[in-house]
Amino acid sequence: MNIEGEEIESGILKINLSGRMDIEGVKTIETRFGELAGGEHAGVIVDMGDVPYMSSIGIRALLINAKAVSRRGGKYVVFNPQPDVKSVLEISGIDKIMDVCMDYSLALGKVSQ
Amino acid sequence: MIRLEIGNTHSVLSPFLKGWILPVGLLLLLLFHLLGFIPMQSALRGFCFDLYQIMFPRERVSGPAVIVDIDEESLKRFGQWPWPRSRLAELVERVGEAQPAAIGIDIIMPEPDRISPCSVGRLIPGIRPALLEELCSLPSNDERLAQVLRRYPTVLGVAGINDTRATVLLTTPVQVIGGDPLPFVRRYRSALSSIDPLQNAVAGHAILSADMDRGVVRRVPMVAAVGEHLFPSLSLEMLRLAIGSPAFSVTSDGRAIQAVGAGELNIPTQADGSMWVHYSRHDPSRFVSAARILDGDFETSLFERKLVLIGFTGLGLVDFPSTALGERVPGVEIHAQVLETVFDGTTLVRPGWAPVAEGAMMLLLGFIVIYLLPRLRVWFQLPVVVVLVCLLAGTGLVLYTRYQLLIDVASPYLLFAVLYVALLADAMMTGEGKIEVLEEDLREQREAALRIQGEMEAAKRFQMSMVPDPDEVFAMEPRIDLAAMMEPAKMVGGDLYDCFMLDEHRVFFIIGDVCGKGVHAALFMVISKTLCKSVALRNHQDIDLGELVTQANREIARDNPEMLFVTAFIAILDLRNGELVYVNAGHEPPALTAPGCRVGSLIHSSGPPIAIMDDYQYDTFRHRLSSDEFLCIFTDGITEAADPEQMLYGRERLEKVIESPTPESDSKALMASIEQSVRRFMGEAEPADDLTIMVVRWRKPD
Repeated sequence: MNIEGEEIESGILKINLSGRMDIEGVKTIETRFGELAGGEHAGVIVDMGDVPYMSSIGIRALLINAKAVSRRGGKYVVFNPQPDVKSVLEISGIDKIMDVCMDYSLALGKVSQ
Repeated sequence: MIRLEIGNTHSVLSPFLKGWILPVGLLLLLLFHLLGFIPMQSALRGFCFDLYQIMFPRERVSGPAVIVDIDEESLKRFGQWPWPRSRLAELVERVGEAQPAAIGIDIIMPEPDRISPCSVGRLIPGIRPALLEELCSLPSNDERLAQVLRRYPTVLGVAGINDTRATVLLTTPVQVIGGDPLPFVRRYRSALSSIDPLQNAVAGHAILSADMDRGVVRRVPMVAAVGEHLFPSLSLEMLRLAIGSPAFSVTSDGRAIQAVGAGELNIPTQADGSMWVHYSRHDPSRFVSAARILDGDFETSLFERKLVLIGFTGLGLVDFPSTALGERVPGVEIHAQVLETVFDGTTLVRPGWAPVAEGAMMLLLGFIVIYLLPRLRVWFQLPVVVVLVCLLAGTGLVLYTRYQLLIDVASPYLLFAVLYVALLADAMMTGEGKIEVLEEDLREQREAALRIQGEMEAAKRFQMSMVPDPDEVFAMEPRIDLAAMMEPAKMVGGDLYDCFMLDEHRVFFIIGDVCGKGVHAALFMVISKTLCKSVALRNHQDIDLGELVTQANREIARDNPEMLFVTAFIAILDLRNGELVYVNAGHEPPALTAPGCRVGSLIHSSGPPIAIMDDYQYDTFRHRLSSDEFLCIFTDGITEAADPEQMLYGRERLEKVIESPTPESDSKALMASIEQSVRRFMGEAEPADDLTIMVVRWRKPD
């Protein structure tokens, strides 16, 4: 997997994930993911547009970082998951505790609040 | 516990910091060096200085000295040695007429000439007394030589010996500057000298002796003593005559001799008044055969204002000592070379501070070896050593060639080599020790791996033992047909299931999947399951399943540092009416199938997986099962089972397999068909996750 962080505007970090989010994939990004999400940004958007598959270990990675962001009072949005990944999020009930947005301006709006 | 230092590119040399032996040894060695106690050091030093001279021998600039050589040719022409002194007188006269600056005779004549006319006449039996008287009235050969010697600036020498015989020696006046030089110079008890008439005739008296160092003349005394008398060397005495000074001088500071000289001439010497000979190559042009002189076959310019040495090279007459350049030359040539160096100002000096400088170099090198090298990376050590070696050699050579200073670099070298070898040996020994440690570590690692594997196996067995056999649990209950299987993946997985009679009419069952694998996940699963069960049993009277899960979730989420979570499908089936109450905490929706029907699923989700949010309120959902309806619950190990090409099995395949079961089929058969289908799909691929399936059918009581 690959991970990139880009500060799209002050205080808002967009994390772009790409690749299969299975055990091996998550292993390659979890440290960096933690570093990026654990920063000072008030809002974090996780762009999952390039993630074709996510297993439960991927959910765990999303959750750990969501928790890190919310602990410091920040906002965390999962943006643009592919249909399969989106259904995993729904099946696991994660969408109930984490914002999942398909629309970029909506995502931006959520983290900018 | 496991110490593995693979890829450690640091030095193999271990620092000697903990050892004090080496530094103390180094300091002791330095002390010995300064005191001159190191055995064989003088040989080493001599070798070092020889090497300088061999690499850069002195170039002959001026040729102030000429050697009149009583060579094989002369002996052949004028008879074997000893020549009559009259012949020698003739030779000196020929040279003297050419007005040389001084004539040094490297020949000692301790006895009167036996072929003087009078001596010869006495040997003739029956010689007429008148003839004998006439013969004896003629000047003896010695007198004739003495007459010639008196006319020219000539020098005769003595040879120092350690007999106690008493001799009368004539000496040259000496001017002592500074302290008394006697305690420092080479001293002989006595000397072998020429007979008095000759000694009285010459203007200069010198000492010819030079000590050899294993056959090599490296140093010659410029001043030495016989008894209490100081003698200049042949070269110094010739220079004094050339200058016209009445005395030679010795300068001493009371601790060592610093210089010798005559008049304005000042020649620096070593502490004992000797001089390191700065050799040039043997050169035949320094020599002229005595035969040629006696034949008158020479230009006067050959000797004019020159320093002329008269000596032998004829075989059998003289030893041929070695020079520092390794050439064997007649002793007289060494005198000539000394004269050349004095003239050209290229005398070599080993300064008084040399031992201190050498000591400093030794100290520096010693510390580099002991403290610096062990801290360098291996690939960097060699260049450092090479640079140091070159720098040292270069320093010695530059001081020699530029400043005619003799500094011994061999001793620091030796010290360096000895220390370095010691260090390498130590490194090798500790290296062997290290290898043993590594082997030990490897064994420990293997054991640990076996232990962990054992733990894994144990955990797997534990996990398996935690799941009940439904046949046993429901053996007495015909109203339920429940089949379940779990196959942990290679390492411990985190799936779980459980099923038991909550009370007389109700069945509790749960199937879950802990996110992650390994011992942690398994333990988490056990804890979760146990908690669920205990909560269920505690509150079964008037139970709300959502509330039960909410409570269990609160317990589990409380202490969850690893951020593990469980997706779970939890249900209670009332066997009286087939009513299913369920909570789906983030789990894959179970599928529903019945003969002749399309596959459906329990789509409702109660909330996120357990252990994520400790205050989440889970919703409860209901579904009424019909008597021929199968409820298939499974974990993502089934839907995400991968074939060797990483294709996923997927829910669609599963639904196709369970679609429209025959009326005769039961839960076990349905479960088996799912398992077979998944295994066929995976083929050779190793299951990545636990495979867990539970199939439940309510049997309407008759």
